[in-house]
Amino acid sequence: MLLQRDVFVEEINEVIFQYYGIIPFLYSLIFVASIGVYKCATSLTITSVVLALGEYAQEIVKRPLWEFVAESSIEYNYLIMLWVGVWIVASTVMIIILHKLHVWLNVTKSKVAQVVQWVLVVSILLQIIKYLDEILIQSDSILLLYQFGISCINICLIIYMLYSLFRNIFNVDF
Amino acid sequence: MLISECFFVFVMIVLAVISSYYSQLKYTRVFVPASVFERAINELLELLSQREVYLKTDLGVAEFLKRYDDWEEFIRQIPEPHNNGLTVFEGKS
Repeated sequence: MLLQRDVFVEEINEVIFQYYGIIPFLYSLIFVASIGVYKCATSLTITSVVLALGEYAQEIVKRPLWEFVAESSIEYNYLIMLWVGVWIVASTVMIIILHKLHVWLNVTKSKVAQVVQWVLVVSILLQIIKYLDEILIQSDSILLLYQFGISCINICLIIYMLYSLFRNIFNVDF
Repeated sequence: MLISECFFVFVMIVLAVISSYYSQLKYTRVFVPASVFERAINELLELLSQREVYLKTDLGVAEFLKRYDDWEEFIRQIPEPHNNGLTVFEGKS
């Protein structure tokens, strides 16, 4: 059981910490650029600020949580439950806040916001699949799917946000 | 699987469903109808013609006008003597 946890911790270490600090910085950059361009709250600024704050909050939690999971003597099943549960709750909260902010600020929800929300839903599903795999199958292919999926989501989201920003600033359409 | 694990998976699926629900929701910016705006402006002009009113102190109308992109320009167009004492905010909304 200890070996199983060590493998899990190693996998998480590879997936989660490879972009440490870069992603929230890029979201902040997109937020500053979009607020500088539009001079008011738009769907893109709301989306980027929610993502930036969410990522900063996750960066703060990630390290101590990972250390707790790696070193704690609690049963492995509960640890993975804790790890998966935290990220799923975080993604859900981000999705709800993203929608509520559009309503509160009376800003039309753009395609960017909806794409980001659906991408977060996909990340939630990946976490659930990963959890089921950990407790039932422990298959290598699902591990690959999880590792590739999380990395791909982070990179694609950044590229899509940058694309949306540049498309609106320079009228660039790729 | 243990009951706790089944319950955990159930809760996580519920969260996924809630997330999907919020993701498919659309929201379109709500504009105040022109007729409502016109009525409010008429009431404002009526008010201004009766007594000297500073817009800064009339928060209800001010808040209403701030919703419009051109509200500042609109106030400037209010003719004399109705604009007597009317102040346009320096710091825009």
